[in-house]
Amino acid sequence: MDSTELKIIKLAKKGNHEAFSDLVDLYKNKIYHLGYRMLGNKQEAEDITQETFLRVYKSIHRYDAKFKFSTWIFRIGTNLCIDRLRKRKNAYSLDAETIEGEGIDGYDVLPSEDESPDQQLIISETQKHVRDAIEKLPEKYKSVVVLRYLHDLSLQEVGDILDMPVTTVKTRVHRGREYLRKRLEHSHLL
Amino acid sequence: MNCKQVYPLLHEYLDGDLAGVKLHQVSHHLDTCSKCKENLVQLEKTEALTRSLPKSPVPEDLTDKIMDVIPMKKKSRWMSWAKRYPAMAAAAVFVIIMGGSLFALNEPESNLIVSGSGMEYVVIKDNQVIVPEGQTVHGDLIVENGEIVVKGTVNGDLTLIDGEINLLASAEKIAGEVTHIDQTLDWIWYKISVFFDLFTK
Repeated sequence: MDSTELKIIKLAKKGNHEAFSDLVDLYKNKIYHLGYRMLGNKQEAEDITQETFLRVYKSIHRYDAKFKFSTWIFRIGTNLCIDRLRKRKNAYSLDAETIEGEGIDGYDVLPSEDESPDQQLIISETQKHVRDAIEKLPEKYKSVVVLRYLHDLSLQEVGDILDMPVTTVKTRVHRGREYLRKRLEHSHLL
Repeated sequence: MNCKQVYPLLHEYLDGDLAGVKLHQVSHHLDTCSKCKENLVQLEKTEALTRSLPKSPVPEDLTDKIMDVIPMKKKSRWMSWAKRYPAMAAAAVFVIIMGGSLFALNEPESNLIVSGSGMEYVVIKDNQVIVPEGQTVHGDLIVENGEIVVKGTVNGDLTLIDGEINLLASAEKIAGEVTHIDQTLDWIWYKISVFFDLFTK
């Protein structure tokens, strides 16, 4: 963590408004992308970004500068996403697997994107399949895959964020990768 | 090593976590087994495709939306303004306090109050307290929110709070001290001193 960021955090801890909005500028994109990949839509990505910063604001006095700030904020964001995914599961009970071994569940029938056409990013067919494959990953692999591959974090950082040993992170990366491979193969992309 | 043994090691191989004999055995197997080699290539492609997924655009008003839910917004805007213009802020606070207190003071109907040991000697008429001609007040008088008209004699002290004194030419005398207290003025002075104490601290 660079010294500028440390200064900003110190000021934000004291209740400095400008410092807090600097923190927002530093991390909002990361948290938004995390939310977008974890939850699969713009609205919930926005919600999760708001919630994350609200929590950061409320508990920044408890943040210990011995640890990386990014780890701390990613943990808050990831936990909020996981929480939503679990609630979603409970609410719709769509988690019954319909195709043995493939892990394809009731979410397949749901549209995964809700962007209006003008906001739509032009992405290839391949990228759509990859996005959908990630979207359908079981939650415990999804968080690891998103943090490791889409945020390019080290195994150690992912472990710190999710509070699990590096060996567990590795196992989950392997399983997640295997899951994705099967799906992409199924879509004839490999 | 056969395919069954190699398969679970492919991920570790891909991550570069294999070493020594195991690494050698897996490499050797991959050189000779196209099925396992294909699996490895698929995993590599999967990883590359996942990493290459573009990030979706972030809404332009995201910062505003975040700051909207942060409760400190209003207070801190005033605070940052106050820090930038301390003199203006001090003046603003002063005006608000003064305005408020004057308003508060003037709001209730002021009622005439007469007290003191000499009050039995006076005549109260509307807003006036009259010491009649020829009458001597034995004792002190305290008059609040009214006018005292002295025609006779006051043997004690006379204290006026927010009041007026009307000593008629014919007035005989007031023996004691006359103290005049203007509450509004005192209140203002009191507030000013408190206010500046606050800033010097």
